[in-house]
Amino acid sequence: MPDLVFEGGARLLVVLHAAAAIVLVGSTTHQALIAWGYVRGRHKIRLGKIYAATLAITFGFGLLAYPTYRYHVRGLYFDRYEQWASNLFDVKENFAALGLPLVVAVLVLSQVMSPRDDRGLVAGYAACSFFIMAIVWFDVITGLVITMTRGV
Amino acid sequence: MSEARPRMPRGDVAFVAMRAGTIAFVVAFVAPFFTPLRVPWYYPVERRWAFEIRPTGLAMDFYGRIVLGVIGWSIAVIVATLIARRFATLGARTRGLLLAWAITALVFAMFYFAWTLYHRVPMPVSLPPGYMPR
Repeated sequence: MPDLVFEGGARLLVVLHAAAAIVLVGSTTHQALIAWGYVRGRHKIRLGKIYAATLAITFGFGLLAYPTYRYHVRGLYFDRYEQWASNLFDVKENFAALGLPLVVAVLVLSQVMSPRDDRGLVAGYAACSFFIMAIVWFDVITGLVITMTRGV
Repeated sequence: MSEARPRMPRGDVAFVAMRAGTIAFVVAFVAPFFTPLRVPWYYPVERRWAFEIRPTGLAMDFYGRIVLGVIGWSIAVIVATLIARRFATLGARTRGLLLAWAITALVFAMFYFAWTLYHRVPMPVSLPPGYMPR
């Protein structure tokens, strides 16, 4: 059998990936609620840095475990027996990547924007936050379904 | 003495830069599917990288496409920041258009992945000799 990078720690990486994703679901939902508060004129604390860091950690663990998944799970099993799971995983990963510029946008805007004064920017900020939340919920749910089908 | 030219507020400059960056990231991330473009492919079994259009075995272009997206994002953010600083204000219409373009690019890319991957028939790799499922 081939010796893949991070293969020995792949299960631990996926557990950490899932744990970080659980935090991420809560934090992105909270962020979206805060953004909704901005739209309605309520100004609360901004946690953009923490949310961006959580996403970076979740994404990072996923990237490290990816080679093991690609060969042992997708290459040897999903592509042969559970093709829907193989395709769903790639949808999930591509959606996650597409959320990256939105996370940076929320992080940057939360540092320079005043929700009270920059009312014109609030709608864009809220749109980014809701998009991120939708992607994270989709990714976590599909990730659980895929892992239940076969994990690393 | 000439009066200092009014500058666009920081929040508006950041908004323009982030919207331009989002559009550029999405375009660069999906571009390899629409045009023959060399990207870094990682071959996990051989533990090597190759800079090519199509892989010759089991390989992953996900890392490479993210790098491509980040390069596109960086260029767009720098250019958009330089351009935005030349203007005094950001009109509501321009702001709305930038947001609409960014959302359209994202939604298009997401539909593209969902549609093409829903219809994809993956090719499994051949099982290694003596393979025992983990």
